Amino acid sequence: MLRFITSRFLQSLLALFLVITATFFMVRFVPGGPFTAEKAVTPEILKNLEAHYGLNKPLWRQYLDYLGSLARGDLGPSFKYPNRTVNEILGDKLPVSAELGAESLAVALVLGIGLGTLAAIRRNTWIDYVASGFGMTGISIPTFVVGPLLVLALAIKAGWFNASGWYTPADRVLPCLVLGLAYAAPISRLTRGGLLEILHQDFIRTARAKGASEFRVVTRHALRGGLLPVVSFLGPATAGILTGSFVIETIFQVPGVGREFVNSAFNRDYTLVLGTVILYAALIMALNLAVDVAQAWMNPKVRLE
Amino acid sequence: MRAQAALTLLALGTLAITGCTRRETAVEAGYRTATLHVGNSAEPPDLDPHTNNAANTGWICDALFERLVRLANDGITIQPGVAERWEISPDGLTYTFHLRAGAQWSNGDAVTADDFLAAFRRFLEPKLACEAVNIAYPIVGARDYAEGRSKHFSAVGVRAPDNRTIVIRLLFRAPYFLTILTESHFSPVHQPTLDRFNGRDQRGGKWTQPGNLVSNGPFVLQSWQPNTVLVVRKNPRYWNASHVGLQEIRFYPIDDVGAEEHAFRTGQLHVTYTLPFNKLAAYAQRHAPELVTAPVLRTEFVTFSTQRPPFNDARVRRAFSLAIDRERLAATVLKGRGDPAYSYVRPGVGGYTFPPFSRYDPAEAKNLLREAGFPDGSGFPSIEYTLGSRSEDVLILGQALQQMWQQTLGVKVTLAPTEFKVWLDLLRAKSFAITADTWNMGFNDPADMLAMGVTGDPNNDAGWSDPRYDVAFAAVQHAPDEPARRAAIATCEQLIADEAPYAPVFFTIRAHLVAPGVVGWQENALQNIDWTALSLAAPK
Amino acid sequence: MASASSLPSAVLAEPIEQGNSLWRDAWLRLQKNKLAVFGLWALIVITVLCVAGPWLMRYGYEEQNLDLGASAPSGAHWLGTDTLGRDLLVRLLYGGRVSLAVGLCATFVALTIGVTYGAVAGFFGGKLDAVMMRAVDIMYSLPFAIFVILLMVFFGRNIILLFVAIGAVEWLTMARIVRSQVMAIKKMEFIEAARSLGFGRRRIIFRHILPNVLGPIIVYTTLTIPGVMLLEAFLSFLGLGVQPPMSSWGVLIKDGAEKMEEFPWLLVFPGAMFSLTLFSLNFLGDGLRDALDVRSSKD
Repeated sequence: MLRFITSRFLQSLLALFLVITATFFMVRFVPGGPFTAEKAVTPEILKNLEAHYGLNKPLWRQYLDYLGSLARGDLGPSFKYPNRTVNEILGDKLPVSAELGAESLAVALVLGIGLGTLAAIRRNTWIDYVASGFGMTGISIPTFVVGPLLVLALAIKAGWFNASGWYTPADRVLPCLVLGLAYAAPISRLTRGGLLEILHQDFIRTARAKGASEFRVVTRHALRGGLLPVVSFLGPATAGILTGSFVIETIFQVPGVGREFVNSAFNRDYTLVLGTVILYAALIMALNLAVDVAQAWMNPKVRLE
Repeated sequence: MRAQAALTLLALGTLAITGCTRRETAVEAGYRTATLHVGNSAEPPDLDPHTNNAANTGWICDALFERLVRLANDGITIQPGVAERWEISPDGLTYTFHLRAGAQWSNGDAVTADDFLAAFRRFLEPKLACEAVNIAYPIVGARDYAEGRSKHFSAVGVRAPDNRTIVIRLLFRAPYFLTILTESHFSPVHQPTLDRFNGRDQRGGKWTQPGNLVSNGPFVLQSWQPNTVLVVRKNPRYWNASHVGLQEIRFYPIDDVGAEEHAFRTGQLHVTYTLPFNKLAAYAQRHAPELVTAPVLRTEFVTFSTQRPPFNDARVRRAFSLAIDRERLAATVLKGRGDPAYSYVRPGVGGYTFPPFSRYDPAEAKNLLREAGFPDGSGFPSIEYTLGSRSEDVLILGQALQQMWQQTLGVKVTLAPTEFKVWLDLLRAKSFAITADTWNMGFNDPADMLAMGVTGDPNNDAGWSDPRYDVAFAAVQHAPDEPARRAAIATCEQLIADEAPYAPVFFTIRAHLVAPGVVGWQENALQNIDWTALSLAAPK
Repeated sequence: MASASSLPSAVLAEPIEQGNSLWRDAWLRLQKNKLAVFGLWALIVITVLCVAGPWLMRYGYEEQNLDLGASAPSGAHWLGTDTLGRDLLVRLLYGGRVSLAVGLCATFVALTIGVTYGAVAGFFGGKLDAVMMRAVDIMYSLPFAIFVILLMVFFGRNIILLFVAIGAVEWLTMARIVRSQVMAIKKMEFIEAARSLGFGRRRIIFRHILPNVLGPIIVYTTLTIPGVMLLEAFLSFLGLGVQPPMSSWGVLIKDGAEKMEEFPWLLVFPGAMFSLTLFSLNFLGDGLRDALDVRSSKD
């Protein structure tokens, strides 16, 4: 186990390095730069600006400089927000996104796994239809429709919440609900599908034959294998949900890191793009590792290699 | 006794419940505490008044810093700022400002002429590379210093004969020069703070952070939570503090126009930065008292790439311009968002008004296209109309223009919306055929926008070059008197109409939502807000 | 057959014949599932409408009526018109062509790559699996907006790129799901049996393992399709994919969401069409999953 994790850690470090290298050069080949603005500046001014940020050095030199400061844990200054560093920006915003993500994930898991399980064990009854109907509705109505609809109904018409912002605990309700529902829908579908695969396998029949209660059969035996697809889905999904959602953070003006993933690319804020990518990559790799460990636990026949 | 206690409890309970169902909104609380809640469009990149290039950050800088002169809420009247009076020499080339005695920094230090000198120097500093520096180019020697050709600031025409006097010499008579001086780029700087954070010739210093920032305006920086709220509080040391009606202004960087309008409706904002395109008509239709609109110094136009066929032929460009039915666009598509544009610069800018230079004339458009060798569009290459944005208004207008060109001229036009910075790159590289373009004027004078027609100007996206125009523009800059200047401006406009490197489409009208309790709000063309003139009173 | 009841029959019988009857049985079972049949028919009707419908309409998708502007449903325009006075029904049908094509093609790409990749990684395991899965991690992590802009810069606006861009991200999770299922199944008795019968690896993967992970694949596919259709709207935002005046369901819904208060029909009809399609797909998917589940059919 320890050997497995060490080896995976080293592999992931190499993968992370490749991601950083690829991203570093990708952003540089995209047209437009951090200082391309609506009003063109004279070439002299542009030259000075680039010199200030070291953009006039050869690209390989900039790349080595970046790796050097990265090794010291310094993600560099932001181009768009000159008086803040990328470390500060991510440090400010990640906790917000993580809070939003954790609360949404709780909503998604409870609702998704709950409804999916109900649908599977009461298959082809009205319970299944209602639960599956919820899942399908959730999949087919995008968040950029659900969000504004809830704002109109609960914030503007009913006056229960602020339309946007992240000031009081009440401001957490709408964004967490919308983001949670968006993930609950696919989770409920995957849970139902995964459980149906398992519920007819012999070891479940054996358990039933031995007189185990239905509740025990489901929770002790079936869920362990039936959640396999859900767990695979959850690796990348959790990384996505914890690093914020662009749409949700925009609709509800949540000061999270999710908006920066898209905006930093649009702003050509090279260092911030790299910062968000490193953050996301590290999370993806850590969570996929966690998923592999969880899957080995869920299915004793799978060995960690 | 017991019954009484029960009654009290009941009353308290009812109060608690009703209190819960009808909570006080931020806007209502604001009326009590004189706190103004303002939507501010996007997170301010920095609060450095010199490097700043964003209008929304300008709103904040206007509250924090005071310059020599200030602009009233009408966007026209120049009022005394740190300078209590000034003189302009008869030739219009020398400006002498006299600073008021009581001007103070927020930490109590006196605001001196040297602070302004240091600020001019900083704004022009080549290492700082301020993007907007060209607005200072009317000042003698400013351009050479800013572009690194001269190392001596003493060669720049700014002097401080004593601690309370500033003399500025201009290269040419720029009648708009006082308006330029009201811009945030001419804010003074508190030199000890700058030095402490190494900010004289460096970007991104920590001197603009709360706790560090020392300013001289009607408000001081209280707190700044990125992407959440930025708070400024009334500055008791401001010379005119007794006339400042607001205790606090809270700027919310709401970067989604839909979310901003929602926030206004739930009572989170007194003032919005803008209004979504599709909401404008609805508010206007029901005569909502919150809706305030005003023409602004912005023209939306079509830019032709004049160096490449088919638009290297002025007749083709003119045909495209004449085929635009601007009245119809204004009535059916813009619906209150713009006025039809028949000149490049909005009439009235800088006080100049002319009869229209351009018109809608489909018959003439067809004629011109035939003369150019494309009768009814036959043989005309299929062209792309490049758009720099996917926003609703840009797309809608683009599709309407596409249809007009196709129907009137018989040409095939495809729309090519492009990511913003990719589009800017195409624009600078002149690798487009026609594109939707806009210009926000930096100051209230036609010269600002007419510069875009000059050969080699960095913003001459059309790549257009006409010696007659260059001569006419030089005449605008160096005109000895008003009639000569006026004539030169008319010549420029006529050349743009005839040669059509740019086809003006409409002049922008901006809309805000302003709560009825905001007193003193005045929409103006410069989008200038004099925060000292505003106050709050709960509407009855 | 009793002793073989725990093994899917596919292993033991003659492969070709068995393949036929497996699919035929599935088809028979599918026909008994009312919801699935409804889903299938609804999808066929929607597809036919989108492909043939526009030819029967009075209006073109780009035909503007500026003076009319946005109007509610009426006799002349059954679903109303948008802000440029264009007929929403026609635009919805044209948009359906784009969305269905994108949904189908991109999902097909994602399915082919994802399933093969995941199955190979899961089946062989070891170093190969490590390399393949770290490659997936890397692809998850690259900034998508930058990737798309680069694609366009180097290859221009090409509709093929749309499928490449969508396919490039959508197969990743599929690959991880298939891999985990394959890893779980490859140690089961019937696979060991197939090995001992000397079947080749390719045959074991495609004939014996994959049919047993079809359930999760089908469910995840029905989840991928709406994602793909909405991603198309984001890509057209970046300038890739359909451009105005052409439309797609994703773009119409996004557009309608911004105007839901003023012109609700612009959201309601595209939203309803999109939901109907996805419900039908899910009904069909659930039906297929049940029909193909050899074990459950024996209950």
